[in-house]
Amino acid sequence: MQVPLLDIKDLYLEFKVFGGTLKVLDGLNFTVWPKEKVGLVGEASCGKTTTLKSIMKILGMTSARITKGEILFKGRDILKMNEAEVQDIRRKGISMIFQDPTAALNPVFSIGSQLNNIIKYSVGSKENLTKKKIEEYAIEVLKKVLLPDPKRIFKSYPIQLSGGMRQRVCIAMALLSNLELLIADEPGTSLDVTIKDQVLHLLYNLVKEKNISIILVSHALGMVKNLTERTYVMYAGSMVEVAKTAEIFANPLHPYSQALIAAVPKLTGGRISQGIPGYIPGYLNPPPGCRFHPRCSYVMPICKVEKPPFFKVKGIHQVACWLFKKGRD
Amino acid sequence: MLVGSLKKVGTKLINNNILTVKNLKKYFVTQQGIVKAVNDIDFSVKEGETFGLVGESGSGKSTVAYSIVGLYKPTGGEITYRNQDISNESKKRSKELKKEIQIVSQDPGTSLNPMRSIYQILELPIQVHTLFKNRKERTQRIKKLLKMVELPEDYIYKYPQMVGGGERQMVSIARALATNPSLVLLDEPTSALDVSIQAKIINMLIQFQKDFNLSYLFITHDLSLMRNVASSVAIMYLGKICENAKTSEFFRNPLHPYTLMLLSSIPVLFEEEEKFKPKKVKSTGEIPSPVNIPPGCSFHSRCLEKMDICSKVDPVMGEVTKGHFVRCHLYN
Amino acid sequence: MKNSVFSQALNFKKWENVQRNWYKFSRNYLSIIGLITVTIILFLAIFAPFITAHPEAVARYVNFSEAKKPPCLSYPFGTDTFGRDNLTRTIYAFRVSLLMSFVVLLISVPMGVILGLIAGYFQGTWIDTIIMRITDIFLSIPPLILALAICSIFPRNLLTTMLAISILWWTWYCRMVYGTVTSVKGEFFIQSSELIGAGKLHILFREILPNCLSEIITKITLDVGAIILIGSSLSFVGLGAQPPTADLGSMIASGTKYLPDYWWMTVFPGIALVIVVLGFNLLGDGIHDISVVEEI
Repeated sequence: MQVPLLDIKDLYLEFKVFGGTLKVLDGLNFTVWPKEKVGLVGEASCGKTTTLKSIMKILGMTSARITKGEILFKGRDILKMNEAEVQDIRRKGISMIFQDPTAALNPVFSIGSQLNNIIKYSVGSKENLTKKKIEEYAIEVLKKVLLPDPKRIFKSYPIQLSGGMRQRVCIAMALLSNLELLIADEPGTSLDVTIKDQVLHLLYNLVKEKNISIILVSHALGMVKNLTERTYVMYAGSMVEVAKTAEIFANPLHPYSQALIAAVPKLTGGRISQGIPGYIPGYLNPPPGCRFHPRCSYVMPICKVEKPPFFKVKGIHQVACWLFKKGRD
Repeated sequence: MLVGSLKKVGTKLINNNILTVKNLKKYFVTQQGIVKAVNDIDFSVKEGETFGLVGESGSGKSTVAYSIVGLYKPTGGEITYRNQDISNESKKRSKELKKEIQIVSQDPGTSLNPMRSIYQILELPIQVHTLFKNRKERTQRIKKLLKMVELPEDYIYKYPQMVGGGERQMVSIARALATNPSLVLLDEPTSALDVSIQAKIINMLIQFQKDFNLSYLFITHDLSLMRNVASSVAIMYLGKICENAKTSEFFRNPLHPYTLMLLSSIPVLFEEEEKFKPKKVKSTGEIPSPVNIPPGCSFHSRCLEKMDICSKVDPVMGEVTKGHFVRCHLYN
Repeated sequence: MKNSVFSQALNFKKWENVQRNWYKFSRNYLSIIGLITVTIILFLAIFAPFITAHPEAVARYVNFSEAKKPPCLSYPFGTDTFGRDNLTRTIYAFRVSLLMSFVVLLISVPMGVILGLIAGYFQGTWIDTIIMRITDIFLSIPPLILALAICSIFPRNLLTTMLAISILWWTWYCRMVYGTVTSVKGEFFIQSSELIGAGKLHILFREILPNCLSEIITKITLDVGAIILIGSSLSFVGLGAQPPTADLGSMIASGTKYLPDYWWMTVFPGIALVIVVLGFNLLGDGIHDISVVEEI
C-alpha cells in the first residue's frame, strides 16, 4: 500500500478573536501522493492559505489553535513534531513558493547571497562545499530556471529584476534542496499574462523533471486546469469536491463547483453568469450543516442540519454533498 | 433612478462620441530618464457603450485613465469630453466636470480611507456637489446607493477594513455613481477579486450601464473578460495602441503579433475556447522597461514575425478593414 | 490582496467599535495597570484639597516641632524640614506636574500638528521648506539650555518654564506628522477625494489627519511622563515651580541634602515620579495597541 506523501486528516483550526472564535477549518481532508500534481481551487478567505501555513507551521498568529486532526508527512504527524524536526522537513521535504515574489526576497541582500545561504543549509550541510562550489551550484540553478545571464543575476539585488525574474528566482530557491513536495501559493498572480504563461510552463517542466509532487493553489481556474492531474475544490474551510482535473472541469458535480466554473468569463463570448448569490460565510457563526447551504440552489432540509461527508461517485471523483448520497442521483 | 442635476456639460455629440482622445502623450521625467508612459494615442468612446483597453504592466493603460480623469496633465495631445477640451489637471477643471467623469480604481485596499466610515465615504461626493440639502435626505440617498450595489444598510457604520475586497469595490462603485456621472473609468476593477465576485460586479456594472446610460472605459489585462464586456477593444503595448477594433471583429480576426501572443497565453477552461486560441504563438521574452523602449516598433524584440524594417521604423496605425486598425509593418 | 476572514460581522452597531478597541487594549494586562494608575493619579490630583489631611502643608507654614519626623501614622510619608506633611505635598506635587504637562501639550500639540499637516501636504513647495527648516533650527537647540536662558531673562516661575518647554516641544509633533502626511498623501483614497472635488481643508483635517491620530495620541501619553521629567530636572536646578509650591522635582532636589538620614524626604517623591511616568507609559503602550490593524 503506497503511503501518501502528505495526508491531512480531519483538521479543525480556529482563531480566537474579538467577539468569539473563528472556526476556519472545519474537518479538512487532503491527500497528496508521491510524484502527483494536485490543484487546490478556492476563493479568497476559504482557508487555503491558512491550510498551507499550518502545513509549513508558519501560521505566525498565537491565537490559532488546532483542535483536532493530523497532518501526516510521509506517515509522521507534523503537528506533533518539535521545532528541529520541522526545520528538517522545511530544508529537505517541503518547499513553498509564495504569491508575491517581491515580498519573498530580502531586498537588502543580493540574489547570490540568498541562494548561497539556502545551499549552505540544505544541500551543503551534508558535504562540506567550498564557497566557490556553492556559487557554481547557484549559477547552475539559475540557468535551469531559464534566466538570461545568470552571472549578472547572481550579483543583482531583487529590486533590479522584473516581476517574472523574481518569481523564477523564487522557484529556483524552492527547488534547490532535495525536496519531495512543492507548494505553490498562487504563483503568477502578480505577473503579467504573457510572463505568467512562461513561468508556469517552466514550473511544470521542472516539476516533471525532478519527479516531485506539487500542490498548486489558486483561484484562477485556468491555471490549475493546465498544470495538474487531480484537483480539490475548497469552500469555507473544507473540501467539497475532488476528482481528476479534466473530470472536474468537464463534469463538476458540487453546486459550488458548478457555479464557480460557470462564473469564469469565456473567451468565446456569451454572457457572464450571475455569480453566486450571497456571500462567503463569516467564521464567527458559520452556517450549521453544510456551509454552502445558504447559497445553494439545490438546498434540502438535511443540508441545514448535518455536514455531508465525502461520497464516492466514480473512481476517485468524490463530492461532499447530500445530493450524491448512495441511493440518490 | 438617480436624482441629480440633469444639466450636462458641453453640446450635442459628434458621431455619438462622448470622449475622444487625440495624439495623447504623457511623459514622466525620472532619474533613469524620460518614461514615455503614453506615447501618441487615439481612440474614442461612444455614449452608452463600453470601450475596452487591454495591456500588461508598462503599457500605460492606467496612465491614460488618470490623464482623462485629471490626475495628470497631458504632456501633449488633447482629450475632448462632449466636444469640450478637458486636457488639464483636476484642480483647473470645473466642478460640473468632476461630477461627470468618475474613476474606480484597481486596488480595493487603498481606494477607501481606512479612517472614514462607509457613510462618510459615500457622503463626500454628495456633500461636495450639494445634491441634497439636509442630512436626512443625504442618509436616504446613501442607503439607496448601498441597496443599488446589493450591500446591507447597516454597512454605513462599518469601516473599509471590516469588509471584504469585493464589498470594498462595490463601495467604490457606489461612490463613483453617487454624482450621476456620464463617463466612468474602470481601472481593472475586478483584477484583485475572485471569479464569483467578479461575475456579480460585472453584471451589476452592465445593468447600471443600461439603467443610467453610462459610458465605460474598461481597463483590464483579461481578454476573456473583455470579450464579454466591451463593444470595442484596443490593445496597448509600451505606450502605444497596437490594434483597435470592434469586439466581434477583434476576436474573429486578430491581426497584430502581440495580440496573438496575448491570446495564446490565456489559460482557458473549455475545449471550444482552446480551439479558439491561435496555436502558433508562444510568448517569449520580457517586457522591456518603459525607460528603454526599443527603437523602431517597440514590440520587435519579442515578435516572431519580425522583419528588417521593424527594428528601424516605427509603424503607423492603418485601417485594415473597416473599423479595424492595426499598427504593424505586416499590414502597411 | 489579503482578504481577511474577519470580513463578516453580525448585527453591527456603532458602539461595537468601542468594544473592539477595548478588547485590543485590554489584552495586555500591563495596559490595564497603566490605566488604573493614571486614573488614580488624576483622581488624586483633582481632588487633592479634599483628601489630604494637612492642606496647610503647601502654604507658607512652619511647625518646627514636627520637623524631620520619619514616616509614622499621622505623617505616612514623614515631614520635611519645615514640618510640613510630605504625603500632602506629594499629592499636591502631582497636581503641579500634571498641570505643567497638560499646558505644554495644549500649546505644542496643535501648533506642531497643524504645521506638520501643512508642510506635508504642500511638500516640495516653499511652504514646506520654510516650515521644516524652522523646525530643524528649533530641534538643534538643546532644550535644557534654552529653558535656562529663557528663565534667566523672564521672571522665574512655573508659567515661564512651561512656555520654555512648549517652544521646543512642538517640533517633534511637526516632524512626526510631516512624515505620516507625506506617505498618506500619495495614497489613492486621498487622490480620489481630490478628484471628487473636496476642498483642501476637508482633505487635510478630515481625510489625512485621522490617519495620523493614533500616533499623535500615543505620543501625547508618552509625553506626559517625559515633560514631567524635564520639568523635574528644571526644578532640580532651581527653575520651574518656586517654593512653597511643591513640584516633584523640587521636592526631590531639596531632599537630597538630607540623604541618607532623612531619606523619606527624597525617596517618596522619587517613587511617586517613577509611578507617574511609568503609568502614563503603560497607558500609551495600550493605546498604541488599539491602532494595530489585525489581519490573518
